Amino acid sequence: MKKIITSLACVLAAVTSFNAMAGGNVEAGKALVAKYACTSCHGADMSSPIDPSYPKLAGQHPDYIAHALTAYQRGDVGANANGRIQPIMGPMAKQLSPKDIQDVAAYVGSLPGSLVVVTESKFVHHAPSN
Amino acid sequence: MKKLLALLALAGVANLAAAADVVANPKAAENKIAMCVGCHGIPGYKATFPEVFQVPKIGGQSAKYIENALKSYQKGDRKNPSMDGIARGLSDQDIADIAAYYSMQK
Repeated sequence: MKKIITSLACVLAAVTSFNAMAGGNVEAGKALVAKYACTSCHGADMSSPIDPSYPKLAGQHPDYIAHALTAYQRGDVGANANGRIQPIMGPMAKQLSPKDIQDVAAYVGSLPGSLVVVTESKFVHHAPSN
Repeated sequence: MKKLLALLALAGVANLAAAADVVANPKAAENKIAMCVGCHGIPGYKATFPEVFQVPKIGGQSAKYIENALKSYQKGDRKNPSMDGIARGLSDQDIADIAAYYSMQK
């Protein structure tokens, strides 16, 4: 039981430090999402895109959203670095500062959405042994 | 001119036939997701290059977007050292099956 509590505390600490690290400002992000009209394609709730080939984004991991926006900014940078070539999101992302990206990511990630991580039932989790 | 039209009509039929070949079968995906779950099935799993980030949640995502993303990796419009290799190993049928499977997760 003590072990469980300790591991829970560890998880909590990790989650907290991760959030602090991401550091985006949700309110500033909300304003940026309005300014760049993100909802005009991704849907009013950022989870019902106007075209099924566009992603649902509400509740996505903020650090992944930040990574995706940064990859659009990079554009085509050769085989070994992450870049994304996309005619709509490329020009859109290039208008954002690194701080803007963190803020947008924090806001969009904070929205309630339908995205999930389903843990594979076949996985076996061993308690850390140290 | 008539020949051209006939050709175009034929091409149209061929196109339809090709599209009709791929019918998503989410059940079949269960044997195709071994490479997916090692990252996307672990809450909090992180990847790099060059940002360090949690791999995206793909459960509940639209099938069409998942398909789009995988085909973009195949074409090279979207680059990620891990996903490039994985996507290139998938057929159109695999992609349709996997996209349907993940889109149905709740």
